Amino acid sequence: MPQPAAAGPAREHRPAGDRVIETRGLTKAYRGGQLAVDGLDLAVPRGSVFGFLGPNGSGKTTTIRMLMGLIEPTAGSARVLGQPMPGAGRRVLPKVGALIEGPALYGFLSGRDNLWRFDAADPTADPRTRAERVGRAVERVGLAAAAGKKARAYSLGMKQRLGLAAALLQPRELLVLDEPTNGLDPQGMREIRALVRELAADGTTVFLSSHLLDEIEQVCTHAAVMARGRLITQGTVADLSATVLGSRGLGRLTVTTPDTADAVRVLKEQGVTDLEVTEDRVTGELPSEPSPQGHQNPATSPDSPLSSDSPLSPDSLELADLNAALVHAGVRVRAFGTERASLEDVFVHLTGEGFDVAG
Amino acid sequence: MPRNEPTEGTDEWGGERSPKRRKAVRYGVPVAVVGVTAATIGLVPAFAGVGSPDLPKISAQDLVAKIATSDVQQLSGTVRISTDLGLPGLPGGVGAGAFGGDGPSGGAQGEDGASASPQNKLMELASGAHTLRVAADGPDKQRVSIVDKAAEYSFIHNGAEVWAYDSGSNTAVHSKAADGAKRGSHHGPHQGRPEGLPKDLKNATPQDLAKEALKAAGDTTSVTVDGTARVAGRDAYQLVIKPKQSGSTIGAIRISVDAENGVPLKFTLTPKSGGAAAIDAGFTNVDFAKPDADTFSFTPPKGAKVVDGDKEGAKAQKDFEAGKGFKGHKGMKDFKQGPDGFNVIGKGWTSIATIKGSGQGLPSGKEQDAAGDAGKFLDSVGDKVTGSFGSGRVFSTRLVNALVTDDGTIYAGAVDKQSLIAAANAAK
Amino acid sequence: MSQADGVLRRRPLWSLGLLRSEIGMTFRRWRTLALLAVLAGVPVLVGIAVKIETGDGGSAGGGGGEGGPAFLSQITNNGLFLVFTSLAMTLPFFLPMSIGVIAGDSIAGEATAGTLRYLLVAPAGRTRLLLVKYATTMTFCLVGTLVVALSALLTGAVLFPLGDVTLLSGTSVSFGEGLLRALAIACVVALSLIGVAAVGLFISTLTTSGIAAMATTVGLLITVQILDTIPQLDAIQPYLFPHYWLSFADLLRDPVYWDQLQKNLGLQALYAVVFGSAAWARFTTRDITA
Repeated sequence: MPQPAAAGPAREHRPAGDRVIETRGLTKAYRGGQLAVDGLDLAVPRGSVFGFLGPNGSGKTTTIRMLMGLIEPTAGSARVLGQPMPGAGRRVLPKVGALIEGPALYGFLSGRDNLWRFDAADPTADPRTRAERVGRAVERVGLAAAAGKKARAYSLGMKQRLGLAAALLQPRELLVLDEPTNGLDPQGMREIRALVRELAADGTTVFLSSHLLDEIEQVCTHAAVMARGRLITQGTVADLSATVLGSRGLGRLTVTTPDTADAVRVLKEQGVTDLEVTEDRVTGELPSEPSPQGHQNPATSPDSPLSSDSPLSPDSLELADLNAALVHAGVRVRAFGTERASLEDVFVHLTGEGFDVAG
Repeated sequence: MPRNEPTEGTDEWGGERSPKRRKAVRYGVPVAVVGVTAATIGLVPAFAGVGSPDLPKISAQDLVAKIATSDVQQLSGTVRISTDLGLPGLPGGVGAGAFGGDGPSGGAQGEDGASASPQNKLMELASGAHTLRVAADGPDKQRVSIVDKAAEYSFIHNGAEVWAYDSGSNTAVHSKAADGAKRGSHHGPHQGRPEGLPKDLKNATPQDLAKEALKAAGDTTSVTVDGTARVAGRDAYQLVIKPKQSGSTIGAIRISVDAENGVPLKFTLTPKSGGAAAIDAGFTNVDFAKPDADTFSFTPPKGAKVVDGDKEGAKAQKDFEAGKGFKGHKGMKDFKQGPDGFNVIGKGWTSIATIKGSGQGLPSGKEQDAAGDAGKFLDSVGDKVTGSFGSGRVFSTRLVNALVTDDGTIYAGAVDKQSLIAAANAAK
Repeated sequence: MSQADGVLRRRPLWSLGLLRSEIGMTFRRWRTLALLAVLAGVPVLVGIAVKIETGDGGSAGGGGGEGGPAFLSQITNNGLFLVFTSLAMTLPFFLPMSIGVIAGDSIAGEATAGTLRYLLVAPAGRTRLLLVKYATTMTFCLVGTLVVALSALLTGAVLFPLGDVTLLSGTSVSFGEGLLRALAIACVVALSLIGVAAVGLFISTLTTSGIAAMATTVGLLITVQILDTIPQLDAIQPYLFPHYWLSFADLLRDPVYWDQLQKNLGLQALYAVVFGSAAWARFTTRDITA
């Protein structure tokens, strides 16, 4: 269920361990009074892969910095792993791995020495196992071959991996990853996403901020959407798609055909509404069906992430009929299918603005 | 990680101290340190000043007698001298012995000798602040060191041997004390000061300054006791000497005298014009125990240039016959006008030294038009004055004024301008 | 999460790990090595200059020794004096400038690189990080001073004779004692720099630009040095951190003149406390946005 966070979380108090991150009325005003984050109530369940979504400038990074104790909130409070931040930073942060606003490295040190350095900064890290842990972290992000090179010679993708490695130096309860796939090539992105899933499978909670919608859709179980410093909504990814879009939950039918006029006619007869024609594509709303909402929706499981163009079983029969009707009417169909509602649709729907508009 | 602290109460949500308050408290730390330091710097001297010790009353006469009969022969300590004579452009030597018009003689030294020349050091002493370390053990053993930045000038008198060592040039000046003894015009432990070595150096200590000041005392002077003070950790009476004559530029001389043994510990001369003390010399610490014998031993270090001070002195004597004549106003030697006639007019505080001009004075006003720059320069340092004597220029410092007439006669003394003009007029 | 119970305990023995890492990193930087090389070069240059100047057998300085760097005239007699001369020459500018670079860059440089945020979420702890940075800067003070002293000693030993040392007061002491005094002087010189190190550290917490912090620190140093020479400002000069710097030479008097040395060390301690705590107040309450 999407949980409107404002709805008195104090009353339905749950054990702190259930929520890895929890904020109440978290607010940050920068000099000049501009609110970077405005009354944020965030709840990240343990074990989730939590997508933190919003355009650049929407307050994601400021929120993460407050969670990590780098910035003092103007108002409100935050708890990480059940303890108040920034107060309990010394106890909490060793159990948190973080990648904040891109990697930052000492260019004059080798990749491995960078990791040594960050590990030495953690007073709880055991120096006796340092070499081993550094080696493992480097291997895990696929940098073993380049670990001896000076970091200034690294590509952005390599730096990103090394930053990730720093977050993985110790077993963590929570990983906070701010734009972890930034600067990576598609192959690298896939590897990082696989790594995130792997970590989540180990029981680590992952808090993943991104402005890439499909990234969130592919790896996250939960998501929160921010715009202009405010939390728009949060919940499981499936619920977000389904409930927020309501009747549009089924997505739009898209038919690609050179005979657009005929197609529109036939589809209208079949009860498809809101038909639009753009070049050789005809799109329209499928007729309303019984609500597709359901907690057992397989799409919400992290193992079968949402993806566009995936056939929807409840409607497949009718879609086949539609297709048959088109073909019967002599419409030449090049492509046929539904476009599943994406998080982008959710976002546009919620904020009424394009995603790339900086707040 | 198990839920190790599962029920940290909800009350903690709002329980954190406001960040602003925390910030203010933290910035309070450096501010407090600065405040405490400032208070300490401001208050400690104030307390020290307030701490006038309770001493039995003593009359001025008795106190003067106490100074005179003081037979302290052994002491060591540090003396801080600051002089502010207001003579940035003039040779520093003018001020060193200038007060009272009867300052100790410096004599003329071989300025062109070694850079270890004691005269150079004296010049330095006459302006700014200096630290001296002094030690004495009877009349035969004294040591005075001028502590400079990364350098030191030491003067060591040990029996017949007299050494001066300048670390800056690594030069030692050696003299035999016996030679100079016959010329020694000085009192107390300074007897046997040889020629060619700095009499005035030792005279910079509070004792000597005090004695010079008291010598000037007479019917022209008021001497009073003004309370007590603590100087260099010792209880002291304060003797105040004021010239009665109105023409003097000297406001008051304050001498702190050790209550126990009568040693002057601090000497402060304030000009009549007010402001900071023109001469302020005092012990910052003093010890009346017998100094270590090593203190007075000196062997010229390996590699040091050794200059025979007696020869230098004799040479200087020849070169500057004027030296003898300028007794009392050694600074005047810098006006190398030739000693046609040296004379002292008046007595006590307002005595004025005159040196008859050779007729070739400073460029006069008329010449100045032609002479240009030289005249302008003189105008910038001296005020042009006229009187029945003619015209001339007055060169002023905070203590000493000098009138140089156009015909080259010099009138100088620790007196105001009017007194000089009056003296010049009277001389005509 | 089996290690979790061990994770929370702090291990005091290892909290020096960050300091070790910091010192190791600082002295591996090309920039630090360049600074040290410059510092090491000064005594060599001075030594060679003095050697050439006096190559025809004359003694250094002669009558013109006045106004030159302290102890210069003594170098030809005793190479050990090159140590004192070099320290006296580098203390007004070269040494504090290199301290300014290291101290100014300490926090601000990490902020510029962005590594500051990673150190803090590691979590290095802000107070601890600041202490580590200050300790490293002070280590550099000591190393920098020793580099000057050792380079001077070696140059002096190669170019000039060594032997008994003539103190400022004209007394001679054995070479061994001279060496001890040289070591003591090096320590005093290093301690003379903790004030400017604290100022640099404070400036470093004010900005996120390492270059700006370095430039400000060095600029401030020059300004203060100039103020210290203006006679009209003599009322405030005893409170300027470079004011008593040259007092290290008082260790070469016989007996040692402690007054200025004590004032110097007291003043340095005051600067260290005031600017150190100001840096702490600033750094522990500041938002890390870089």
